Amino acid sequence: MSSTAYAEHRTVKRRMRLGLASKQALFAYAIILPTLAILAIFRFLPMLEAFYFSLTQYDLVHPPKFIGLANFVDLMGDPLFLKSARVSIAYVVFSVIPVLPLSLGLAVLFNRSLWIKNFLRSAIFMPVVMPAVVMAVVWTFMYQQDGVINTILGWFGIDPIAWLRSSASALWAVILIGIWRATPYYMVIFLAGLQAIPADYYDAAKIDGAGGWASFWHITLPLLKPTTLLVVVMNVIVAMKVFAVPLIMTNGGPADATRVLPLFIYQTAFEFFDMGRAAAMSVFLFVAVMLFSFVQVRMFTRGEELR
Amino acid sequence: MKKSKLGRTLSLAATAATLSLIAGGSGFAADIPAGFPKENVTIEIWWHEYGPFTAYVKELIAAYKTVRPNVTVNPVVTSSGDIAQKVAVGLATGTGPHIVDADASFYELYYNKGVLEPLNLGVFGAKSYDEFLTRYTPGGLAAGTFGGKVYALPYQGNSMSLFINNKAFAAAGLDPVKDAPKTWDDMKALGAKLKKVQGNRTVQKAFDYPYHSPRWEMQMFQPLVEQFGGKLLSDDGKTAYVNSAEAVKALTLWRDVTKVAGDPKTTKNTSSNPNQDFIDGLTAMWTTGPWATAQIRASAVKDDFTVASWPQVDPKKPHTIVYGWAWGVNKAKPEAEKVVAWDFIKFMLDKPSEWLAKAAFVQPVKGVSETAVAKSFPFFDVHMKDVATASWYLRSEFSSEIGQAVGRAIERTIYDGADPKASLDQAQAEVDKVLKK
Amino acid sequence: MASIEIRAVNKAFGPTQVLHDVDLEVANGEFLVLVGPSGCGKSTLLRMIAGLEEVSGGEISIGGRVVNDLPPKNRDIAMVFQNYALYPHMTVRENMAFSLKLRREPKPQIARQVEDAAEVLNLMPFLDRYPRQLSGGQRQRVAMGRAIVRNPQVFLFDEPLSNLDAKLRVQMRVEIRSLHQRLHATSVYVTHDQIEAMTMADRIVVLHEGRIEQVGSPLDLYDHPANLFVAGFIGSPSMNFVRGVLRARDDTHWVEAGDGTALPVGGSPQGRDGQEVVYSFRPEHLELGATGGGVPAKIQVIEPTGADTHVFCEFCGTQICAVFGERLSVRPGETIFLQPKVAGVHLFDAANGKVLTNGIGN
Repeated sequence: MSSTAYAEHRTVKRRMRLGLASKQALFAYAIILPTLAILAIFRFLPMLEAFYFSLTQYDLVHPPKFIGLANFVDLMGDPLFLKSARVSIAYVVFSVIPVLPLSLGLAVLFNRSLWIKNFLRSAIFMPVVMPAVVMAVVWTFMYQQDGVINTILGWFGIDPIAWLRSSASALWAVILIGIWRATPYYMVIFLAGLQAIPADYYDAAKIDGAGGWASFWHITLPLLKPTTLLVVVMNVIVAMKVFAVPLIMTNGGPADATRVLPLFIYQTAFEFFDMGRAAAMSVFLFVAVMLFSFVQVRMFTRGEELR
Repeated sequence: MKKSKLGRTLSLAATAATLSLIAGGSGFAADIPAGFPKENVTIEIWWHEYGPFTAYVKELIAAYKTVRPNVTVNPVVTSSGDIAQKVAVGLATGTGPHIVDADASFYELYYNKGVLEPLNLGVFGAKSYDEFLTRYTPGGLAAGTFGGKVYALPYQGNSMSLFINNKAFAAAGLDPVKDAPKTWDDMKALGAKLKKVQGNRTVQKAFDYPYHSPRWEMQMFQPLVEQFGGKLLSDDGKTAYVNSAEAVKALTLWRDVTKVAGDPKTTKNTSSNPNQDFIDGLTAMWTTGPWATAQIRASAVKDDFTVASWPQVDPKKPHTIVYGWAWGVNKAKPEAEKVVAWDFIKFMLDKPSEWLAKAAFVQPVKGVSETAVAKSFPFFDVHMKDVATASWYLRSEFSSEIGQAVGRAIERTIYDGADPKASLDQAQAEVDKVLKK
Repeated sequence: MASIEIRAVNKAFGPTQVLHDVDLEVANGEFLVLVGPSGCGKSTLLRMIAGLEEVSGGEISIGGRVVNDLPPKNRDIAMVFQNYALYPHMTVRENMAFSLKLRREPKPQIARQVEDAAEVLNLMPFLDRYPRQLSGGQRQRVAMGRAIVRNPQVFLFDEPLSNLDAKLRVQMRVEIRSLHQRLHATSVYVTHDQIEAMTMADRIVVLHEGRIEQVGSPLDLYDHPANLFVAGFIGSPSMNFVRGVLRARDDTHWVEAGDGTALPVGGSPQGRDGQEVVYSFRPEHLELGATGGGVPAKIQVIEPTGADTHVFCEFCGTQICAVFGERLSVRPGETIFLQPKVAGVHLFDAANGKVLTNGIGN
């Protein structure tokens, strides 16, 4: 009798405890539910749908027709797609790599106490807050034959460059904007990373005999590894998705020199009305981004874990 | 031509046109077509942004309310760069408006996708489509006629003619009328006289082809191919001849003219400001449509320009281009609302001279030339002459893909020095792939 | 090995002066402890010796060489940090080898030196672990190992034990001392813990608000505090202070406490009749008097520590602490009678805190 009462008591207690926990959980779910729902409806569902469309022939009007992997097989032999993929890869490689030393260098600079720091910091952060469209228009002007950039080059006796009007230089011109736009953003991230490194390590390194370079090389860089990983992965993803700037500045030209994959996907979907093919290209892009991120994370965290 | 005189004439004409609209309005009001709803109806219309055009259509919407009080027209204005995608997706997904505005070359695609409502003959009081076609200039409705039915009505059918900067000609001791190039050989000869280079900068081009969009490139390339006696697409639209001997000649000519007269790397033209170089005086000659007249007159060029017919390979067998924008009706809407939509289109297009006066758009209908507005419009006869010898811009379900492939071929040759034949062979392969679908 | 000389050293951070004309000498092989409450400038002084802070004024020399403008790496010093500052991305071996590697010493020599140091500190099994895989005490030893591996002239310790638990701290104190006895390296050790100072130091420097209050051997400071600050800082439980007025009649001196109680003073202290003084005595310098003998004190709290008994009570209107080696059968609220041992009484000038008389040795 008493043992049952004891058990009952226990159950009641547990139920009460569970009650409190589940109440808290319920509250948490209630808070995240709208966000989850919005994400599900406007992000995940379309993504899943894109996977399905990639296996179909779909012109937006007639119902999608299932054609298996035909879109993918076809893409592999499509010189336009391969060219666009090459342009995208070049864009990613050459817009991501310089951003690393530039943003890290600026971060190191701004991590010191400079009297002009605050002003410079806002000035340098400008590109991040500038809308892509405005930026593309401004840069288009600057890149013109008699624009600011050629004028400055002229001071040094350099012949004007037909930045956007030459298939040789257009991609570089677009890449330059990518670098200009990304650098301050990642500078802030690096700055946060730098400030998270305890000053003690630098003191210890000084005592151990490390000069500025040695402590940057042996202390700062290794301890910034997680930050660097974040910057590389984020930057690559952003670079792979670049769209507005080439769309506005060159619309992919001249002669396809700046037709990055997202732009080609957009044209295929909404100018050529080939949703299936566009979806297949998106899947390709998605897989490329995933693979890259995965390899990056593995590479950076191989061997030892951090801190 | 003096600005003050022309300005006065134009504004007088506009006033006259407005008066006639009000006068004609009462007649339109009484003429209610069969199937027109009596209850309140709201229809939506989309069009591409262009200042004078937008202002005029809004004016028309207000005027329509006075003759059809139970109809409300909701306007949605979109930039010209986005409208094609917006309309296509809207029509495809059934979320589009009642009336769409699109570059005439897109209607073939829309027709093939089955999203267009054919013109309501009753609304226009026409016995048949054949009879309706006679109201337009020959070929005037070609871009909107499919399977014997009319699906789209153009509110502008633009010729592309040669605009000449008088000052630039005078500075070179040339007369803009007498010395205007008749042939491309003339153009090459003028190139040497008008193109000015300082050090490594081109400060004035004699003439340049457009490079700011594949559409404009195609607008110039297509008539060049035709001038050599070729064509880009078979009549059934299933075979492309992008790398034909004539096309190769056309691209070679393009390249050779450019070498002497132009500088594709020095340009400020963009999709939204395609005439910038001419307006800035950076080029002595430029190809554009009558609609650019207002913009040029408002610029530093003022009235100091002359329009000449587009140069030819053989002036005896002239070939030019006409392209334009047209209204169409969304098939997915209820019947009664589609009647209203066609009724509103009829109302809008009723006064071609007003379109000319207010937006400088030329409707390809008969009798426009006889109106007072046309008579006072600068070089209207030249524009009409070029329209008379014109083919419509490439009509194909795949006009975007073909246009882009050709545009790329042109850019490869002009920017990267690729051989014209090789460049067009590549374009042909790209187009063949598309047409196979 | 080397001595350290500090002459008229000043340090200011902007307008804030944190060290005032500090003069100090550390003898060759000496273990000197800088002690003081937080903010007294002891860590700043240590970092100046290390070369991590610039010298605002004065001169610091190590081994007879002025080092004011020398970077740390040229001062031949090693330092152990409060948080150990072990490089998290390096193994124990790499941490210890880092300074040698920077000096480009040959690899076999580095390996030997690291292993020698590891041997001394019992770190051999941990050489290939990362700092996060070590316990607090092990990390502490690695930090020590990193310091000793390159045989510096001077060791600097910046509160190295404050992150350890009490038991480990006692153990590490002993280890550091025995290490010092083995290496005989000149060492400067900063702590805020006076017990650490007392137990480890050859000499203690008491710093307070950027000034040296007193320098001396641990027992010297304990027995002969130069002022009220040192008297209060050194010793635990700390010295008891009762304010009063010095009375002198003929050869007899006593202190009249605030409540009128006469407190005994041995010998003839400096000071004049009527001078305001602080009558001070350590908790163990009290005798339990019989009823009626000594000063009545009302017990507030009793803390038996096992070894002895701490009694907190009210004595002449002031709260004091008394420590007795024997166990007492008294309870809070009761009154006991306490008599300060005259030999353990110190008198300080209430106006400037300077000592008038240190009872012992008089």
